[in-house]
Amino acid sequence: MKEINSKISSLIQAIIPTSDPDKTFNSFIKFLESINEKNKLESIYNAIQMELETLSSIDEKESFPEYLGIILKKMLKTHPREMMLLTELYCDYLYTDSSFRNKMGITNTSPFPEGNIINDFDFSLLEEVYLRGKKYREV
Amino acid sequence: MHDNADVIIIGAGASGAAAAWKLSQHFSNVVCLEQGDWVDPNKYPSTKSNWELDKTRKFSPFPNIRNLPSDYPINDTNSAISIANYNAVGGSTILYSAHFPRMHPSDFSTLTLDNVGADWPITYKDLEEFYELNDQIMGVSGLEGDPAYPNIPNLLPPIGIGQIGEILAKGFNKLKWHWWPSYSAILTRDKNGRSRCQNLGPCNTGCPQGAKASVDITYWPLNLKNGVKLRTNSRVREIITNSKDEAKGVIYYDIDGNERVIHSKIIVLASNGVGTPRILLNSKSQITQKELANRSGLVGKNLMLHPLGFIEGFFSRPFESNIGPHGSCLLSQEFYETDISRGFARGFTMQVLRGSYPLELVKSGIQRRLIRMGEHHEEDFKNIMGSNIGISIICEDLPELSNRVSLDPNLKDSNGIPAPKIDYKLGENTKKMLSFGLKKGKELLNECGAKNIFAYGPVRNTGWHLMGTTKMGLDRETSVVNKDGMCHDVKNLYIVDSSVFPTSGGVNPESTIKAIALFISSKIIEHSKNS
Repeated sequence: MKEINSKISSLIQAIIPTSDPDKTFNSFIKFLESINEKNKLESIYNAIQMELETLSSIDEKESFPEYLGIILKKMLKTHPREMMLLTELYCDYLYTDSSFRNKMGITNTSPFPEGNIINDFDFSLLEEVYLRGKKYREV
Repeated sequence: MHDNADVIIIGAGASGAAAAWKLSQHFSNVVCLEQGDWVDPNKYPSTKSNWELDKTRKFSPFPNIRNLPSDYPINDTNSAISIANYNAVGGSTILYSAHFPRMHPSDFSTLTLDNVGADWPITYKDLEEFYELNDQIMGVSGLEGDPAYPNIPNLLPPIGIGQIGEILAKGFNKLKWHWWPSYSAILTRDKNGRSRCQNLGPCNTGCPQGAKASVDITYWPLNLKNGVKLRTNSRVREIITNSKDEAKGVIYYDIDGNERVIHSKIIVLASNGVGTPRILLNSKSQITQKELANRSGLVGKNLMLHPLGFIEGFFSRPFESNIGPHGSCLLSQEFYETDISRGFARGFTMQVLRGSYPLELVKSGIQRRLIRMGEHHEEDFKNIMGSNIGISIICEDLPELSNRVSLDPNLKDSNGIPAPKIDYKLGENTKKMLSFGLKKGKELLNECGAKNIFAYGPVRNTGWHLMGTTKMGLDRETSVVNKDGMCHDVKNLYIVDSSVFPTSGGVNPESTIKAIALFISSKIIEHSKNS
């Protein structure tokens, strides 16, 4: 299981790299458990197991990140459904995390309790709509 | 000991809440049975950092995903559109986006005007005072003077349309198409003890500040003050009748699963376009020994769902397009009324929405290759966040007998009550309308300078608007209820929800649902006074 973890861990780093030491594969697993989706990861692993095997022989190479990118592209072609599902689950994990959202500059969408300001619009834009006259049908 | 009421209302959502308010002004013992419970606004997803995730899970609009104890399953595998609802005090208004346009006068006479659909036995004029009454209780923002409507008075100031809204407004003007700020059941001024909107955004995960008018915070406090007895976690199995097919009460299950009976001289169904026919199909006429109120054979038929198209435009720079009430920017009714040269009858509303929220944006951005995986991910995301905008094409759906709600032979809810099954396909007229609408949406976004445009439809996960399944009409052979909402076959059984709509219009039905609930409730009071 440890080996599986390290391989998928490498793969998701290729999908969305994050240098945050708290964003470990174990915390990803815990997140999936909390939303009852861990079984999906297992089924993804079963589907892409053979391709993952190739990772074990290259993980010491200097060109590892580039190589991972190539592997990722290949797997997106051979297993698009599973890879998109893995990507979506990983996005669910990262993009619902406050620190990651802050890093991505999306604090302004924090919905509560802070509000947002939208300026009043230029009412003169409506003038020509109004002047074209009635649009509904009398009955 | 007998359990009695003057009136039993089944459902505490939009129509049930409005009916309870009106009826409680005349009847002293109004009981409302609701299969869900109160939802604490402090628990809405929008109060948490993972709100986008909850939106697709326990606060999903789809009961088959939520699968909460208050939900019943719906077999919609044979439907082009998934059925959405929310079972709680407040019903689907808890999760709706509060888009609140009225129907048009022509919507009530489509057969006479355009030789399609059906004529309603009532008119826009008949509903006008109830639209206005409802607007005052809910609190509706917008702008008077819209040439697409007869005058709509007493609106609160419109919600801001933002930078991206102005870009679209200019695009509409270049094309000389109608547009107008949205009608929204969202406060832009403090009113009735509720505070004005702070533009928090995701209205469809529940409004934690109470600016959005869901009926749990508008009608229900008034109803409780008027003495309405609301029984939550109470799921109705069937309506029971006597030998003359007069309704005499209902059988329901309480929270512990105990079967209970309550009697009343008047019963009001307010359980939406799927829930209401389900209850009738699960109830039996003592005269025909078949489904209740169904001598016409129309209970469950003519289901209309407003097939929806979606056009999304990405612009070359961010405009904070995702800021603001999500469903309420502006609308266009340029293509609302019939123009036969377009190749179809009737028309649609273009509803301009705000941009995507982060999680949905990143997922769709990766799928569409607008956001790369790997080292450029962060840069790509930051470049497009706040730069996109969506347009919904809300198509008028014409009634068709083959689109229907029936009972699934195998599927049951947690109380063992047969669950609904949906058969639904888009009609030819709707397909042409949808295709035309998508084309027009792309034309608009091109005119506005969008860099990337995506258009698709019908969008499967959009079955919010459930209409037509107990049609209102003058002829008992071709309708289920009369013009006062009374079942032709069961004189003391009324239906006040969107099931009674003979046609769908091309707008969100929420405003009309409550207007018609108030209208029918006023008729119930009249009948009671006369008898």
